Amino acid sequence: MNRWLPRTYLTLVYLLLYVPIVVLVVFSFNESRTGYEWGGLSLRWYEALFNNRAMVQAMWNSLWLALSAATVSTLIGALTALALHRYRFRGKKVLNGMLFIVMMSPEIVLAISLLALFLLVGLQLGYVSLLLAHVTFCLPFVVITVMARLSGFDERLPEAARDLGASDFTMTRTVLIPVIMPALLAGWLLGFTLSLDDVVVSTFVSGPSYEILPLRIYSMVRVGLKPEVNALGTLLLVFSLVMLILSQWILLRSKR
Amino acid sequence: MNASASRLSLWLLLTPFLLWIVLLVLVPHLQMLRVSFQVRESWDTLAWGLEQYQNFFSESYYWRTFVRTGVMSLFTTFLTLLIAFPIAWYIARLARGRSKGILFLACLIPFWASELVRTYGWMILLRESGLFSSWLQALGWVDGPVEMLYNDVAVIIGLVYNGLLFMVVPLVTTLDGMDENLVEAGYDLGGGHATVLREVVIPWAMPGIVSGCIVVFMLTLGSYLTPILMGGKDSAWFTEQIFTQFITRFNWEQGAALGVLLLVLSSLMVWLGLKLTGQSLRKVMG
Repeated sequence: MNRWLPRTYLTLVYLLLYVPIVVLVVFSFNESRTGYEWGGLSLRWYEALFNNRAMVQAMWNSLWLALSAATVSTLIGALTALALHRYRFRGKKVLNGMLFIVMMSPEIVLAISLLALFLLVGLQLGYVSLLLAHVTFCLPFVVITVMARLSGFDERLPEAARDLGASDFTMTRTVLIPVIMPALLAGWLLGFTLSLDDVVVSTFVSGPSYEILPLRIYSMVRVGLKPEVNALGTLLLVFSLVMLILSQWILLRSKR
Repeated sequence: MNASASRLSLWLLLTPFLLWIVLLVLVPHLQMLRVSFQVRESWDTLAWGLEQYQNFFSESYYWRTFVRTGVMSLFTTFLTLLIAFPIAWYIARLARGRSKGILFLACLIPFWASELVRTYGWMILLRESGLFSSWLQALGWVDGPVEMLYNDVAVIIGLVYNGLLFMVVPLVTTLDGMDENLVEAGYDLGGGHATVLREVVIPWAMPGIVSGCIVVFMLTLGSYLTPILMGGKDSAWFTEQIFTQFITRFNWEQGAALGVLLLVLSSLMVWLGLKLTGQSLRKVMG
């Protein structure tokens, strides 16, 4: 078979995968306001962002929301994954199917059903409603991720610890938690990213009292293209990548 | 551990999750279903009825948008499969050692950027005052600026881009497990490239193909940002109508019915796809 044909194709597709992102990052450092001319290197759009008090507040709100949503969904998700991993019980298949359905069903359907619920019970739209909604859509992903990591876990380890005289508490602290830590970290990281990036569900369940970053970006993009959005997008991207690298680094260190 | 203690710890582990799913998934969805069967007779009286569902079928704007969304999603899914298959083949069968891992990783990284950021990247490239337009002008191929954004082609580019990863991963997984001898046996028995692909490779990769297609199709059908930001004035997407009914018109009954229809019709299409390809959901999703 021709050797250069597959390579050319692959190069082309990978190029197209990266062009939109690279262009976004490069133009975030562009002095000029236009999206096609290079006006020299500049940090003016970043400066503009950090001088905008509402924007900085939205950033903190988003980070705090993602942190709490990831933590809550990892706590609940870890318990669920342990149950699904360890026990055989009636209804296990139903539960697995349910996870799958929640994961696959369109976000907007979840969004409207949650909005209707929150308004019905009289919950004010803000941090709490956002947290409840974000944990809901993160949960299945976290459970699946943790479960996938747990499948390689040797069930004889906790038993060996018990046989050696460890109490349940000691066993959990010294055997179980260190072993499932990488799984929890992977789940947490996924939850964090999902929450930080969400627009659709947040559009429905957020209120004016708690502004978050993706919604601000979305409203800016809707009215027209602004150079500040390049800087914001770059920040979000860098943040996700730093989290990814950090988690990989922790995983590598824990393996030694 | 005895049986009852083990029962107890199972319940303790599962309770938070069950509570969460019942209160924030099951109850709201049932509530949405209930609202969708209501009809507003005056501003404060509601009656039961099928009017919201009748509206969907009688007002051509609704079902036309749905059909359009469905057809475009099918097309996007097919296109994504066509583009992703050679990539997955290369990663799974041709690449060796280090380059295999690097190629796979390089495929994942763009998807750590959010859908909003990715879509915005494409908007920078495709708009009238964007890079592609100015490159085409610099090359002298066009006279003035060209608008490549705000049309169906732009929407499909964005959707394929968003779906690519979800197609590549299951394909790589299935193709990775295929025995090289199978392909060779196909050639030894006198098959050409096309025959081997049709008779050996595709049947083997079918679970991966179907699973990738289901995920991409559902993602595309339910997508909201890409069609709205990249689509034109007359390229309506079904999710947009749900938003309009719920938020702009404040017509919850109609919005809820459209939501239920989206859920039911999309599940029906996935079920039909599984039946047509002779796959079962359990086999496909592991």
